Amino acid sequence: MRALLRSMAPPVLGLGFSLVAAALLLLLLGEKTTVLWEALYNSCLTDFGLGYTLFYMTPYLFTGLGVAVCFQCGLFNIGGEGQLYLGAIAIVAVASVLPNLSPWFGIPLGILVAAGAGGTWGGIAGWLKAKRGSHEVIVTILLNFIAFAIVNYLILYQFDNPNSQSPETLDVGPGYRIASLSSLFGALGLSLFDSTPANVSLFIAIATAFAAYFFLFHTSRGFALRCVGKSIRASEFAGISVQSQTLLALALGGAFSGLVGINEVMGSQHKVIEGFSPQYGFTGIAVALLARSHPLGVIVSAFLFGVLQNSARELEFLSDKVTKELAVVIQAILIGFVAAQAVWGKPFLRWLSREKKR
Amino acid sequence: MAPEAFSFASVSKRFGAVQANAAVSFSVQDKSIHGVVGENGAGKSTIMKLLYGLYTPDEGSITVRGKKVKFRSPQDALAEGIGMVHQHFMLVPTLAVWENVVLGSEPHAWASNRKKSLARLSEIQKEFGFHLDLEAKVETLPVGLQQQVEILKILYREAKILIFDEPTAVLTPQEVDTFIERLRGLQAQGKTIIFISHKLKEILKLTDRVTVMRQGKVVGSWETDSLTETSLAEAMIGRKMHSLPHRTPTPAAEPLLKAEKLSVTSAHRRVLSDLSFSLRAGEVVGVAGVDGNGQQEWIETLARVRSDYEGHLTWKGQDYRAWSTYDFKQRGLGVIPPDRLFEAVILDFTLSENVLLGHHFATEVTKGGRVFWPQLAKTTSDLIHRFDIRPNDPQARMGGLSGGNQQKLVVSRELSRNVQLLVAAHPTRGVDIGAIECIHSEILRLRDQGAAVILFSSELDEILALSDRILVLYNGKIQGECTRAEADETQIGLWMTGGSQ
Repeated sequence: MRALLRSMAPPVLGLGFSLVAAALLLLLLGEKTTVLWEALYNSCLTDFGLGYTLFYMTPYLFTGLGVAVCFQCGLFNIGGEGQLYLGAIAIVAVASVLPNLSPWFGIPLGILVAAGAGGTWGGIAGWLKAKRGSHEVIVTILLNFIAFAIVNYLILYQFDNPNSQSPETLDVGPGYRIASLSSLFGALGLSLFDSTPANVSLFIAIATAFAAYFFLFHTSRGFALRCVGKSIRASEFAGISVQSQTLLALALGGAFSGLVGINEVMGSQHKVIEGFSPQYGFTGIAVALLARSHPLGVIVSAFLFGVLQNSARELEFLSDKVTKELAVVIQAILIGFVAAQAVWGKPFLRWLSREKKR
Repeated sequence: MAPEAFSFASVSKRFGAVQANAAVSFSVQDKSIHGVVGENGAGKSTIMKLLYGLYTPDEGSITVRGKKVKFRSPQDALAEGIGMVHQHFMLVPTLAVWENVVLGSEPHAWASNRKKSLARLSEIQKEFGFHLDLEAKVETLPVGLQQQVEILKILYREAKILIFDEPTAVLTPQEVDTFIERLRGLQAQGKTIIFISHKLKEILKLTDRVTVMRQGKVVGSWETDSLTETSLAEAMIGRKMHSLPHRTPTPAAEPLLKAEKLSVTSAHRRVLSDLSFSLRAGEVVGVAGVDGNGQQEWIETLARVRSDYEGHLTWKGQDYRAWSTYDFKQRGLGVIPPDRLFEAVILDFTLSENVLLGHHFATEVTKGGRVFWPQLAKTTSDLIHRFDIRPNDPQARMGGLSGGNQQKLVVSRELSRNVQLLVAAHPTRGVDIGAIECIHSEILRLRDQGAAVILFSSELDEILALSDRILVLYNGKIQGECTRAEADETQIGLWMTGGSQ
């Protein structure tokens, strides 16, 4: 319990510090700090705000897992952004080939192709790293550009909606739609999260996090993957194939990121809009860092980033001095504090416990 | 009584929960050679680092030549004439000898004065009987000469008290002899020498007085003449030594492992060439040699970490590459890797996880690809008890264990299965005497049960104590071979340095 508290303390303190920093920032802009608390309150504790927070949380959870599983293997997956677009367009593609499936087949198929498309993209990076020794950071970054180009081409020339002025695809059929949370609770006679895009993908994401946890910490293959992340030499002497673990980790990471498509396409928009992601893939790196690459921690940190994302929206609405970019600044401060906890975390904890003793 | 060079008075040092030194008091006479011995973690390195200014004591005081001192850095210690030769050399390989010596104490901040430095160095060389080529690049020098450069470095800084931390660990038997002569010469020139070592023979041969440390405390200081190897060892480990078990000769049998013209090329260099050897059931074959003569590649080939060899290697008549590494490990291959920290264990993992390493599909702790942690914890506990590993906690982090306990866990893991071939590389490197005994007797027990063991070690004593046959590796070739009965330390030493008959 104490150990858990100690490991939780730096991220929580980092969050606290970044809120203080955000408040100071608002003061500098000549805004009352109360709007910050109001925005936070709205996005955490109101029905409507929480609905949006949970909607934003879902993609962060997927991309956070996509980065975390690679971190566990000692790999840096920066390809989440490309992987998630490919996952999304893959659902549209399969929906256009098999438009009239029943939800019993359409939804599992959609989930499968989203994971498959992202997983293939991650797997390419893994294969290049394992067989050719190409650095995964460079490969995943470059693969992002290729993915963007492919997806934009497909949106504009293959699956485009001729009745729309904006670059977006046709809607997927009803067999590929995941229920929203409001309709789910509505069926139970509750009025929750009405007119918010939060949908059942959230539960799939949480289940995925638990599955990833079970895989990494309770299976032989997951153990082998973590060994490679800790020591390549020791893994070789233990008879673990570093190459196949590398391939596996990046393919899994890609698959998790690809699942973002189900929240966007099957859960809310029912189509792919060009540039729908506010860089979920890149922010996923911060989500994983905050969670220290623990799959269950990713659930918590994805929620926090959902809150941040939504609070930024609220702030923009509540104050005319604050822009969306401020949220990015707050996020950056938070990431900075968390990433630098090696520098300030331990001394700070020591200082705290010394205070207590007196 | 001769005047005192320095003394410790009730010096204590604590790192977190670990009491590295507890009320250490002893003094060293001027112009003497003083040995400091103790098991790993006994606190001898810490107490020397306190003297050398790398750490500051929590309590107690250090007196140098009658003056109380407080060092904040090695520079302070050097100013009082205290210098240290570290176990791992701190040299720049691409610089010349004289540049390495002068580095860090150049006469001017912006330029070094080559002529002046060379003149002074030649003088020092003459005074202390060194014959180094000052213009030679350090990387071209053998280890023994590199060590002389280190010594030259502290002599150049006019140190009067010279601390040597395990100086003979890297040397061949011949080099050790010259080194011992050199220390005597330094003593004759009026230097005080502190000699930290594991090797009791050298301590007895070289020193005037010995201080024995155990668990951070001083057990006692004695005149060396009053000690024997046994009494010294017993003072160190705090109990009686077990003698090595009796040796029954290996019955002649068909070789289990056979190598013909085994060669390995690494980075365009032939590191092993045309090795032919065999291993029988129930025998220990020792491979002696100075590190870096192809041991690593040989070990990696036998451990199935690399399979890019040429020539023939067979196990029970089958090609060595027939099984995957993992499968071979399950079929009786045990490996104690040469580099414990990087190849044998994962420091961030728990003891349980480290026991699982290399056996992560083993049936008694996994089923259907799932790991059963409670079962594994029980297996780990059993190993902990059998090998007396501390702490007794399967959930403890590996990184928190002392070197000896880490190595005992590695050995217990590798021997816990039905091992038929054991590749043991430096199984007792950096391990204290108690653990060495335990590891040695386990290896011999395995031999007596009919396993084939190949032992790589840079400690000749270890090779001699355990082997039925001895191969000597030099420059990628087997330079010489002898049986246990024929073994002669001088001859082996010659082979190790490339000599023949």
